[in-house]
Amino acid sequence: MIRHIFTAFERSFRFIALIWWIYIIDFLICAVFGVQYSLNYFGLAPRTAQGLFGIVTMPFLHGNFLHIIENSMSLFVVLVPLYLELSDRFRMPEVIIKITVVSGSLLWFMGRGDSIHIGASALVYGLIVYACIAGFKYKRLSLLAFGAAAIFFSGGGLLMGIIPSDPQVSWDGHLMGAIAGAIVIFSERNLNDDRCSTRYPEPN
Amino acid sequence: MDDGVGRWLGGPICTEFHYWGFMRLNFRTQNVTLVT
Repeated sequence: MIRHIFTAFERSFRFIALIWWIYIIDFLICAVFGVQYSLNYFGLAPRTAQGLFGIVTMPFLHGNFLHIIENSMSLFVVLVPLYLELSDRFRMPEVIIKITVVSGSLLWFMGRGDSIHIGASALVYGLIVYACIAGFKYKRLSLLAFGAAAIFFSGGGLLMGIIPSDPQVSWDGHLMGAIAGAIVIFSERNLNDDRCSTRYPEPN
Repeated sequence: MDDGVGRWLGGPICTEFHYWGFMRLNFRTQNVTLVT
């Protein structure tokens, strides 16, 4: 069990560390060459050719320290319970890539024009919706409780995030992330078979 | 601002950039808004 928790922490940290490395590189680029060379230009600009980069890069780009802190904490809070509860059924890299590509593609087609979307919040929304629906699909009450707690403790902020409010908030990105999370979990084969009968892997 | 990655990409050119601020990202570009 301890080993399982350790693995959940380790895998979540690995992904979040990747985001931080890119942020540090961007920080150094801005410090040395100037902000006009910021990697944030590679964010997702809907319906533009250069914006296609953003489908893949958007979750890794952050505007400032507070932004990346917020998203890192959110990612950690959602990734760890998902892995703890679903164990190896939750293939973290695969789910992250799927949600990123689906939400990015939807946002590229339907997002607000004249804007560059950056940040991992679309992925966070996708993972929260993924967790909630996975709770129903795999009959894991704890994941449903986690979703309810996330909404409750955010003071409804999670729901507010998907409706137009602040023009500098990528509400459309959040919305597409949430839709992508639903698409990804519904497209998953229901793995109520022998492979998933063991909730926690046996220690080696 | 001037020619950087944005111009190289044929994309937006930054005119105002509060990058180092600790508060919410609040920089706008000539043609687009950066949203988070």
